[in-house]
Amino acid sequence: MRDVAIVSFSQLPSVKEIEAADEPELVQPVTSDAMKQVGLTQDDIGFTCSGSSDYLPGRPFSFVAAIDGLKAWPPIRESHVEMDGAFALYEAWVRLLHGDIDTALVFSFGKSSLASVPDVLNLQNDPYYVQPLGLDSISAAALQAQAMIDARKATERDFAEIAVRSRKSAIDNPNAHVKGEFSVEDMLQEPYISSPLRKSFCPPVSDSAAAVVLAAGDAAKRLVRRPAWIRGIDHRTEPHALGQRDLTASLSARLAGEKAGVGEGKVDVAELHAPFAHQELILREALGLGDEVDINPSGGALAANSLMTAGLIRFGEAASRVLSGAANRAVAHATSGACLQQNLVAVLEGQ
Amino acid sequence: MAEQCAVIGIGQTRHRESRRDLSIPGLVRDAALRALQDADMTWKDIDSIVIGSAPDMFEGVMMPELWLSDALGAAAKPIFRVHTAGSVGGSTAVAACHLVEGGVHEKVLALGFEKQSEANAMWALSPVIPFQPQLVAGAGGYFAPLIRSYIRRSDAHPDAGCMVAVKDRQHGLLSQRAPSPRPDPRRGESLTDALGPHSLFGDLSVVRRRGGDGARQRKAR
Repeated sequence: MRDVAIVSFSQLPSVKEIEAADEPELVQPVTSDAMKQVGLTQDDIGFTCSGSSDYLPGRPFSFVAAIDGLKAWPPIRESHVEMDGAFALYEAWVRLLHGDIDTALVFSFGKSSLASVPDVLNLQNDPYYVQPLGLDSISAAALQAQAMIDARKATERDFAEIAVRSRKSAIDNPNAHVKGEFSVEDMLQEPYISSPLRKSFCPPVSDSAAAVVLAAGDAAKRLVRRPAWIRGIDHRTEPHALGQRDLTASLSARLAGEKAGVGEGKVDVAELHAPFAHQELILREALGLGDEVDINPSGGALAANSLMTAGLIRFGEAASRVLSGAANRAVAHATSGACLQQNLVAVLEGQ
Repeated sequence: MAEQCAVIGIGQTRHRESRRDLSIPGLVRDAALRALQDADMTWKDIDSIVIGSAPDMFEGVMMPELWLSDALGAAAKPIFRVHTAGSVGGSTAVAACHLVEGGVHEKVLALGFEKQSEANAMWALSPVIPFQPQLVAGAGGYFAPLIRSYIRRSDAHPDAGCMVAVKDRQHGLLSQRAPSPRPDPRRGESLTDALGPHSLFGDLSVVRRRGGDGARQRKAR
């Protein structure tokens, strides 16, 4: 199988609202920056793939408008997934394995500020029996967190400690949305949003966009001194209905991690897409990540959570640490669906 | 490219204006089972699933690959969702072929679906967008000016659209799975019939446009 690497990454700082920006205005700054970092233009790109959701802007085919932020004439090889941008990265990785092209541009954008995200995510449910009940994303996550407490796998204090650590790590991240020194005791005094979840155990709602350039083989070595080689990448899903899953564990993340080869070497750093604090515990267990692993040094999704881009940003954050030499072996993860239904895992290496 | 890829089985549901006998999961499962049967395979033989539909608002379910994973036997497997505009059926086949050609998977189930009768597909294309006048037109309103422009620029016969529609409907008579053609399934349809119905949007008349429910699927190896 051909070696493919992440060679550059760009993101817009995650904020509460990026005002008055349409799709091309979100996309163009990050795609041009990611290409510029490695001295490429759209003419040098073999395949372009994006990830976004129409239900955030509330209009069909919003990704078509985003293409106006690229140079798409003469016509370019292009595809789009209605999934997190990390899955667009997966499609681009598959395309680069063919051997006829050497570079790919991946991007995603999420303007979550346009609507009530928990209510929008209700539309991911079964439209006949579950959508009408009004199950939103926070309530679903709360059921999962309560299941962990009931199974004695975690306490509310564990959730608070993860939230405090994540927002403290984010202090060093200029692109993070919510950061600072918080206290576990104060968090445990916050009122419940949906028991046992308090506000600080939930992610912020952010606007952002992100882009990554992938390159294969010698092309990657020419573009950067130390490419972040994708040594393994895999994704798996689980049954949709919450009642059909063990919510306290993630079979799909475990399978994807095994297939990606997470356990085949020492992991220096892991960027896990865990929007809710308790989900970090589930993912650490599923991927076999011990205390020696630096988890979410960027602050993770608890510090910046723009829908459809938060997963791709995890890949970018993990890759940047390999590209800079700060880490040699990193794990990147993205999730989709309520309560970690679908999971994508990759291992990135510097050598 | 490293691996050759071939279609080894196909399945298609019956197409109808409204498949009230099937839910959305029922519809995609029907197509999948027909394809598996055609290839003499079972769910266990499938390595990976690629599902395409667009836009989500046609069925009113956001990222329906999450909900439909159960109906497609995707638990513990990869399921990948393709979403392009107008081209999504083709793009789904392309993404599935890429998985085989890239050597990632051996047997991939590729599936496309639409169940337009369960939402308002026409008006999903005409949402109210802030600070813009609403284009109260649906799909027809977008396509009619393009059709008129094409006829004018290419100097095509003004009835070119009707001729193609009649030819396709007559071919549809040979397909067991196409929607029943108008006006009479036994007789087929003449150009006079086609020109009869009143115009919907400029050069776009009822006979030239057809929505409906259906799912098609193929497996690649």
